[in-house]
Amino acid sequence: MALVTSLGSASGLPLATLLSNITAAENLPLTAMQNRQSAYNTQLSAYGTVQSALSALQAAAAQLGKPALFQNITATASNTSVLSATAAANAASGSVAINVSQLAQAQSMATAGVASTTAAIGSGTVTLDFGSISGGKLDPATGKYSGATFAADSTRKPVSITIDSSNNTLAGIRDAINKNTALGVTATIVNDGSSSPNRLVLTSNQTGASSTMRIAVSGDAALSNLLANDPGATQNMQQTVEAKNAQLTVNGIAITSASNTVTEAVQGVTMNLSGTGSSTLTLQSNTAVIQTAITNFVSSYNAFQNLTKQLTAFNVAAQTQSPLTGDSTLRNIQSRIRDAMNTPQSAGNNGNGTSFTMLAQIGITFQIDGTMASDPAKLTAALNTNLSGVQNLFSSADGKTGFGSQMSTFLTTMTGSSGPLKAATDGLGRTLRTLATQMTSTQATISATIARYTAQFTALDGLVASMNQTSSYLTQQFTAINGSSSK
Amino acid sequence: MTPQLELMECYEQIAPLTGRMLERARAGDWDALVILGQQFRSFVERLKGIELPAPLEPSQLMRKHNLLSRILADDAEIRDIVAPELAQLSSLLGNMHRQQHLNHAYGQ
Repeated sequence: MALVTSLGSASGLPLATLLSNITAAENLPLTAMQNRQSAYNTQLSAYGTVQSALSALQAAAAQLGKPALFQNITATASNTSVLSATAAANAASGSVAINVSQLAQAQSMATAGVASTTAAIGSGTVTLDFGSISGGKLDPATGKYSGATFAADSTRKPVSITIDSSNNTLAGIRDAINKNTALGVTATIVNDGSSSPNRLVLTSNQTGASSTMRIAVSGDAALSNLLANDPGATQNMQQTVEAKNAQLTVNGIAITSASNTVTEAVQGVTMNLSGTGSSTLTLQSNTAVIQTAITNFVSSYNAFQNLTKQLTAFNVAAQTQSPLTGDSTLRNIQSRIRDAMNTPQSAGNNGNGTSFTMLAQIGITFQIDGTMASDPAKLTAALNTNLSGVQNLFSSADGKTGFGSQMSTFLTTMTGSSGPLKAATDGLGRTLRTLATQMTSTQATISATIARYTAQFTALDGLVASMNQTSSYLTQQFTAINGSSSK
Repeated sequence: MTPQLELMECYEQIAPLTGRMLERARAGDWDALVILGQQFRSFVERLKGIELPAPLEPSQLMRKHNLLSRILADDAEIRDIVAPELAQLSSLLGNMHRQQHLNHAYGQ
């Protein structure tokens, strides 16, 4: 290198290659440290992959540990033109007969026709409330009641709007009604094609018999003649759609509902009625979801086993280790997982059949290589015939029993911030930092040695150069004596 | 003191000096060798500066011959010892330098 070339040229000496062994000795500690450093870094990343595999397994176990997974019910209606339904976790499996005789509907009323939507009609206060009609008779042709009684719904307060010069046209009244959402009705103007074609139509926003409108007007007679409508008294509007409740039977039991969305008539089930007629509603456990969760657990478990095998392998022929060969942390976690999975669950109270205590009973068995194998037919059979048994095998409300719950809790600890993996990686981190400090100081030592050698070389090189001069002078003197010259 | 005597005294001092230098070189005591080498050089510089008005006596000449033989023999042997040492140092430094460059390249 540059340094050596310049120093060597001063002395004019031939450069031998004697000391490669000494050089190696100087650098041996540093090389050893570099090797250790890379081995620790490899271990650190191996722990990272273990952490990921365990987290995946924990997630799969946690899913199986939730009792709700096993209460996943699918609701299916045999006649979808009558109803559709969804089931919550508290629904029970089984089947119910539904017969819908009447759908719920919202009341709709129309005013008499008005020639212009923009001509002033009259001013006053319009008050609207809701209630039910009893007795009397409805004339379908006129849409008016005779001899009926209106009973206001005390839970719904009357709401008023003011009609004045700013909004006293048909369109203005429509807009005033729509602007006040507290009224609970929607207004539209329908053109019926007659000579006075514009009719204001009010429709209740809610279905059900108790959502029948009553409209009182105080003010101009024109406004009152247009809108005032009391089913038990003066009716200036025409009812076009009657307020009705939904009528249905569930397994023969009569049920009335103000809305077509019927909840809890069957426990945990929400039915959406869409037509009259009969249908069977079937509530079935969704075993496909459970089967997927179990399969996912098995494959996560196997992924961890295979990773462990790969990270701890020892190649006997080549005598080479893997990053975590002989690592006690990993071996400990692995054996604890295996022990937990091989410890039978206690046989719980199970009305439906035999209690499952081991995974083998539902078709999941341990192979010689430590991985799990599942027998889909046996698993499906277990799910179909003894769902609660399978549930008890994996989950519990308190999270303490069941392979899913137990494994989830255990793995959360193992991968957590005070778990053994964290401790092991923290330890490696500390070792790496110490090693870096050592390497820096070793490096400094080597630098100091080089500086010392360089100084020595320079001094000796100078000595040789100086001796070349003196020697040549003294040789001259010596030759002079022999030539018997004088000095 | 005559220049002749001064000259002879110089040779008388150089001869044991090169002897000691050889001793230090054999012992590998390079620091001491380098210091003695500086003294050796300053004696030789002094020699060069001495003008002789008349030649040396024959006895002085004989003595000078003997001293110079010893000095030159020592000188040759010292350089035989130093040369391989220099070569060793040179090689060592070269290798260490290369290794350091590698280490720096790896960011350590």
